[in-house]
Amino acid sequence: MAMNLNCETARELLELQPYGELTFDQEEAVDLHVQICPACAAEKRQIESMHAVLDRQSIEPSYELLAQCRQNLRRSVAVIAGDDRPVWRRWIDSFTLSNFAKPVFAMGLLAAGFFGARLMPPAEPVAAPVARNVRFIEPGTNGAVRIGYDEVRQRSTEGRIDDRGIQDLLLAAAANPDDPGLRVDSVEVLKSRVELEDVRGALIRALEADTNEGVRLKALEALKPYLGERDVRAALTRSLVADQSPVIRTQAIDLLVSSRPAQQELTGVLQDLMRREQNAYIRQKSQTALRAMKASLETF
Amino acid sequence: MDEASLIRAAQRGDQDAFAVLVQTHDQAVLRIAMNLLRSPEEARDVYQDAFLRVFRNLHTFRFDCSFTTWLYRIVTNICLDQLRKRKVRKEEPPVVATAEGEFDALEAVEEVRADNNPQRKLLTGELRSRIGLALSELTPRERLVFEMRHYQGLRLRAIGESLGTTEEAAKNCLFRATQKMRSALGDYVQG
Repeated sequence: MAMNLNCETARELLELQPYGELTFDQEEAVDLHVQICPACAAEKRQIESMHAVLDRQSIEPSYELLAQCRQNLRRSVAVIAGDDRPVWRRWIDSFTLSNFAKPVFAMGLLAAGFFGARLMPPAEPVAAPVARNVRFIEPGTNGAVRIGYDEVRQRSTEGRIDDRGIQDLLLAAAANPDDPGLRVDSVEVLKSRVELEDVRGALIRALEADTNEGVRLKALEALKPYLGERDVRAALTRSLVADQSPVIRTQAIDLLVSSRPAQQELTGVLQDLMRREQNAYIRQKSQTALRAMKASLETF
Repeated sequence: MDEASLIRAAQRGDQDAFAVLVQTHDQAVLRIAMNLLRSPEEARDVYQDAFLRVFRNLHTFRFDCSFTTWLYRIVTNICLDQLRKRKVRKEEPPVVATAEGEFDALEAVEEVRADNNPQRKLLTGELRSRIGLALSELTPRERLVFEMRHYQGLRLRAIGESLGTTEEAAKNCLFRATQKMRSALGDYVQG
């Protein structure tokens, strides 16, 4: 049986209701109370309004930041573990060789290196630092000074897109604010893995927030096969409403009206487009879709 | 490999297993730190500090709670320390002085959604400052509970466990925090 509530208790429960922290009975009692108490109903609306406002302000850390954190952590862990050797070295060191075998093994390696060098193309040398960023300066005694700095070196790596490390680099490149060409290349490679949540998230962000139209178009292309996913449809709808490029808006509406689940969610958006969209093709598409849905062409 | 096996492997010194554990949880950790501290630099420090503590102390983890709870206990302690330090320094919402004048550091945080409407952008900027101010008025514990429940979607019970307190205490904390937020946001949340 539902409890009877006074306004004070109802307001305490209302505060927790959006978080799903009430029992079934408490939920029932609050809903009943709100129906007969206008003051608590207003309180409920205010709470819902606060949640809507706060939800829009959530910050999602960039993949670039995440990649940077992972890289720093990897380095620190290697130092703490006293093991900043490369993988090949750890593998070789894992063999315990007798004192007799060690020089033989060393000679073998030397010979392999000697002949290998003649057969292989010359290895790319490790690049010199391309940037230095001084972090702190501590003057010492006798004119000495201690300087902490970050050093940026260019390196290259190879691997399959399934490798987590490669994916992290691609995701970081997709968010690189300085190089749209790099972002296009990255989206092109990532599109073969749209089924991964991280990748789809990055492509959605590129579609909605990238300043470069080419990158946004690439991201849109990549997301096409996932029109069945709600987050993809929502992103396309936002692009249809907000993107400055008519090319993107046109592609977005073509995709959305071709998708049955999207059509049902679109009515309000299409009616709004009928009122304010400048592009004739998009208005015509909206009109056709609204008629097919037997919906009114206007909001009211 | 399931999480328990990964933890056991990492406890035996398997760094690859540790890396997988990190990658399973690190986005959530970074998100908590970023939303709580609203500074990429501080969030990066929290991330580093938290996972290094995990790395150093993983051998003491005895499976008497979930790994997530244990990890969040570490993260929340670091964040609480950070927030308390700020309170002691009486920091206002982050306003950074640059050669071009002062700007709100929150503006530098990457927006999830692009918005080209200047009026709406202005309103969003004002609102964001107001939210930053409202959050800074909460006590560190209120802020942490609010953040973990509102933005991370953790249950009050799990939050209580992470903070070493009861579900009831976490609930009271959340209640106070939401009331303060509502009163601080005033005009933006009319009924």
